[in-house]
Amino acid sequence: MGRILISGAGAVTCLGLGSDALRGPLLDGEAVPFTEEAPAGTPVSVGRIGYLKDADSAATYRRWGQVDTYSRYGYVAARLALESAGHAQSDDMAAYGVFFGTAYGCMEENQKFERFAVVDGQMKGASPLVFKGTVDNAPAGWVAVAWKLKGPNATFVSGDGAGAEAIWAAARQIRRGRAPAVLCGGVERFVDLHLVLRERDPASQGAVLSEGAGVLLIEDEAAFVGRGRTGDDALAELIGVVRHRGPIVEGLRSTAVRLGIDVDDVGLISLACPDADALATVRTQLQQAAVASGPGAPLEGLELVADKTVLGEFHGAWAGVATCAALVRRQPGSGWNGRQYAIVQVAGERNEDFYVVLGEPRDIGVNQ
Amino acid sequence: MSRARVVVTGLGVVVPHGDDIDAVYGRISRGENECGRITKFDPDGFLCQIGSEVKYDVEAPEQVGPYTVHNEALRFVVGAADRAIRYAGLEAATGDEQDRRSIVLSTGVGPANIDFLGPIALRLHGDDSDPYTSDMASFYAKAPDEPEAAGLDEFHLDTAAPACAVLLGAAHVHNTASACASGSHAIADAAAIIARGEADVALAGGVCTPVTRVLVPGFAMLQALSTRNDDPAHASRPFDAGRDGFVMGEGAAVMVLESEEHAKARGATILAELAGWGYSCDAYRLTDPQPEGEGMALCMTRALESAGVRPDQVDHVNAHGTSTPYNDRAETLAIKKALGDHAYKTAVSSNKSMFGHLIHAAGALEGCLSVKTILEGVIPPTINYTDADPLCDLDYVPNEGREAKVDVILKNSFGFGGMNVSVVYRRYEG
Repeated sequence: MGRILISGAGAVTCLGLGSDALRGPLLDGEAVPFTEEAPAGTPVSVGRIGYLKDADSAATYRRWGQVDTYSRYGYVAARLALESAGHAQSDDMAAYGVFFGTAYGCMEENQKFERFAVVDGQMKGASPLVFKGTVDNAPAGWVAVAWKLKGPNATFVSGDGAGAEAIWAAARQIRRGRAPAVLCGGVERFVDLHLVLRERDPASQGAVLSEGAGVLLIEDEAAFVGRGRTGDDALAELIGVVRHRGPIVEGLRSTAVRLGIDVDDVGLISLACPDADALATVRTQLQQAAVASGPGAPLEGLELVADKTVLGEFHGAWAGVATCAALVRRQPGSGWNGRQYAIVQVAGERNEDFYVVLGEPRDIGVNQ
Repeated sequence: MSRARVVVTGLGVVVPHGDDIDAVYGRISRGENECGRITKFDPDGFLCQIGSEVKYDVEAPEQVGPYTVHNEALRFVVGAADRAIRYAGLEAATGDEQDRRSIVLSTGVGPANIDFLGPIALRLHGDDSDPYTSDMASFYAKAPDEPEAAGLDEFHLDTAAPACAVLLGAAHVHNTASACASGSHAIADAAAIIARGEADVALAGGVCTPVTRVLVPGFAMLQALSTRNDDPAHASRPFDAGRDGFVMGEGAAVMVLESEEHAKARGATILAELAGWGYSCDAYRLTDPQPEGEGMALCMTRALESAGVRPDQVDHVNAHGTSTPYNDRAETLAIKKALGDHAYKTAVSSNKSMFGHLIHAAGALEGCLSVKTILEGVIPPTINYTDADPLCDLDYVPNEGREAKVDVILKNSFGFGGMNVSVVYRRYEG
């Protein structure tokens, strides 16, 4: 079985369109332009997307006017991923699949639609176009319709880990030969009800709530090479995704064992820590574990980052966005801090974590 | 790539026809209808006034671990899960065994109903403002004292799958959302988890409570629902020339899946084999099926290939059969594409003629009935079939159940977003 490559990536965040928009805040310390502060007296800030206007994508999709905002984020991220993978709109991608994850899904359209039950009692003012968007799988459906992607299509709604589950399941579709490539990642659209929810959650105090999408195009190596792409075009190898319940030290160890990678070859770990204190705690745990495991300088050459502290909390979209961020941190040809692997931790529900492992793409097509 | 054989060992339902799967199947195989005028709200003035409702008191645990079973959707699904687990003769796992058990549920239209979303939306936005831009300050000030505030936590925490995980003693929880295909999608995903060797036992299915004064008019706006309001018992009429849309139904259905090895090792009664599954996407329109049934046919073919079953080995197709003009015509074409000439020799029926469309739970309930069909040897009928549609020209088992030895059933489920899922159930032979 060939390897799976990440051939395209697209992020839609309050920082702007595309993964490159993440670069400044992540690497250069630029301030994140969170567009809106929550109402006075509430401790939640919001990373909302105010720039995504019709003009941006209407020209590329004739049904744009029918697409709800939640689906638009997924659509635009998918378009960016396909473009960065070297695809044109006219390419035949019928066998491609779409696997998205979301924690909150279509709540905006539900709210828009359901208020008519109260307003007029019989929904007479409600729009059927809005009702179309009241399914959680609307983004995956619209993306499939827009590019005629007839391969496997699924939407996971398993909370904050949903995007990682989508990437994990998408990779399996390729490994089992059910699709040569799959668009995968996560989408979130927040409305003010989410802020009310966050307000009531003590664990959320001080958090930044971000909306948007992070979508990857993952592709079978043979298919990638078969359409004329080379190793220089690959963004990374998707080594695998591991699901683990337990402390992070155990999770990382288990991930390395299960995927057969040497921890000394890991140059970046993107942690799901919500703040600097949590990052410091994990750093200490990893240092203690490294010291206990044998001689050598603990964590030397390994970069630990907590991108949520910069980008905000994307919930079900985090796996996609965080992976895009990890790709921004990659130095083509040498990987992450000169090492071969990067690991993205995604915190799921019920104390379960996902570890998305990326590898520097090497010898692409050599064995094809 | 080798895979573990997947078998069905437990069934559990809380649906309009009852909460005992054996009795429910008995009623369904006799063609008994449960569609009628909506009683959950006053439907006067609504375009569609027909529903299929759970009208009895549902017995279900009131508390499952840390989760309070406090609303209808939770009662339905916890009740169904409790029955399925008992049917399978399982106890909640403990210790390391929990890591070998999974839950795969579709709960798309569960707690998200107007009981609190509607009032919250109004309070937040007024009559005509936009949820995205409204002023929340007044709500923040009032929220702790408002009755809807309690509903926020309920919405935030969809506890159906975690509660079922407590009942089964499962460490892993998955939720899928494929609109009307979700029930079968959950079952297929659960089967795949077992087939890959990641679990020994999985509880899979769906729950839906869509008979609300939001969703009924919503689907009616899309012209998806029957408006035969003066004759609700005959409103759901799949494949009939006079069909004009589906009837919204509610309930929950789940099944226990196990690896054959695990089921045999514990001496379980194996009800059927879940032999294969297939997925596809129409990529046509968000809410309409591809009119030639191409995606549907592809998914049926993939399911048959996955099961290692030839088209001429299919004894019965348990159709998606919604009773909408578009679906039934496209599904008929798709069955012919997938089964070839054998389509005309195959009994195709739609259970939805008797209980409507349970949306996220539909594929799960119809999967449970498929298993019972293999065991009991009576193919449930398509009731209300009186006038043949020339574009729907297969054998739809009209109006009366049919005794037959059924070894292989192809179960179809299709949904918004162009999602198609087919599952193959087969008589178990050890």
